[in-house]
Amino acid sequence: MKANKKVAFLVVAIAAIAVVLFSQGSMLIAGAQASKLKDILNLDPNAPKAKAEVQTDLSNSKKIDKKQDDQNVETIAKVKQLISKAEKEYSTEGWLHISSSTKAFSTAQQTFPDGSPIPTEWTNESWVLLDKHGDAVKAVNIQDTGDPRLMQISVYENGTWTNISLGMTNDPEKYHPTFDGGILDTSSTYKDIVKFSTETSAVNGQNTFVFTAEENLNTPTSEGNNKQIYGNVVKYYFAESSGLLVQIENYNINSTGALEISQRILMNVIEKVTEPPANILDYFTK
Amino acid sequence: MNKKLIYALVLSVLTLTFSATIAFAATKSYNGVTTVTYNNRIVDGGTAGWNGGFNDSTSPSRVMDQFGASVLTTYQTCNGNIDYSTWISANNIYYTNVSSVQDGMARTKKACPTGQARRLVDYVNHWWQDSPYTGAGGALTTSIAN
Repeated sequence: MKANKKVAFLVVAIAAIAVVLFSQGSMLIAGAQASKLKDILNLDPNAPKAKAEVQTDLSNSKKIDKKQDDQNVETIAKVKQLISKAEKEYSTEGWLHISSSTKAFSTAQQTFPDGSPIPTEWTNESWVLLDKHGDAVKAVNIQDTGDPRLMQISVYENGTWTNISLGMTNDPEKYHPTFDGGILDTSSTYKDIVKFSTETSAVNGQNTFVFTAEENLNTPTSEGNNKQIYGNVVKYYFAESSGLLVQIENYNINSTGALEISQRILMNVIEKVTEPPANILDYFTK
Repeated sequence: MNKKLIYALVLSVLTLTFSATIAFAATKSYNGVTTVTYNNRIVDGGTAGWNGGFNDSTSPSRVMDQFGASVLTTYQTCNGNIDYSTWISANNIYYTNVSSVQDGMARTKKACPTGQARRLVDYVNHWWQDSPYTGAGGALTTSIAN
């Protein structure tokens, strides 16, 4: 009887150790899989969020004159008129699907800490459920570079964005998708330093209005190992027919005043859908 | 004999696990004499640029052998995902024999696809060394919608 107790004790002890070792092993394996991207980027997803100490310093930006200011007002009025078409049709209750392709012509850095090259091309798929005010209720955003290790998926739920590929969660924020590409925010926030102009062009057979936002610097700046930058230009291409953005381009202004393209985003699809595919819905907890 | 071997194995596994935990916790220890204040900082410079960095100081004022950050990484996100072309990181940005330190990286801005919200992110792993103590201030992340 005494010997049986000892045997039973040993069996229980070995089973307990096996459970502990197995669970630790499983956690390590799961952790290793989840941590690939954070390891590549050398980021700690659990880093505390410091309160933002944000300053605005526009002293290095050249101010625009009164004539340019009048032209800006006229140009932005055109933008608003054009965008109202798109908002009427797409900023409505239900699911919104937006697909785009990005090509970066220059990167801030050549490689990640592990030595792997920083990708310069990727696609983006966004699925957003809007309420009747056009505010997002939930959303999924998938960025695919073609390298599974670098794929990023972010989920917006309960008012918070979580990058599930990195395990990083943002502070709660309201998300209201807009169709202006940020040009209206730029026109109000930086109205004293940005020159707006407009022209027409064709993108993939579509007639577009091109709105250009240009900022010039007093003293050139540089980024990483890149050349000196004397200013910045963003070109927004809106389809004449629908008022939707079809392309956005970023340029740097070089020492001769010429434009050097740094990034182009081509909007592939903007559509209202009844419901996203099941694999997209699976990202939500409810 | 077999029982003794099993007990020894159990004891070894438990001891190794416990030791590993203690070693990890020890790397978080501090000098305890000086308070080091860590601040992440984002300066918005318009449509063309921004600057992500840090401002750190000691209180009461204490000159550190080395003071700064072991990692400073800045990037933009669009709807939570990092725009890889904006990602930039620098290691071992520190100054010697100072009681306060500030530094940062000039950055240009890039657009997000339409319908997406842009954030500027400043990730700093604050760090100091004051012989014989070495202190990791730990990583702090700051981001702003812009």
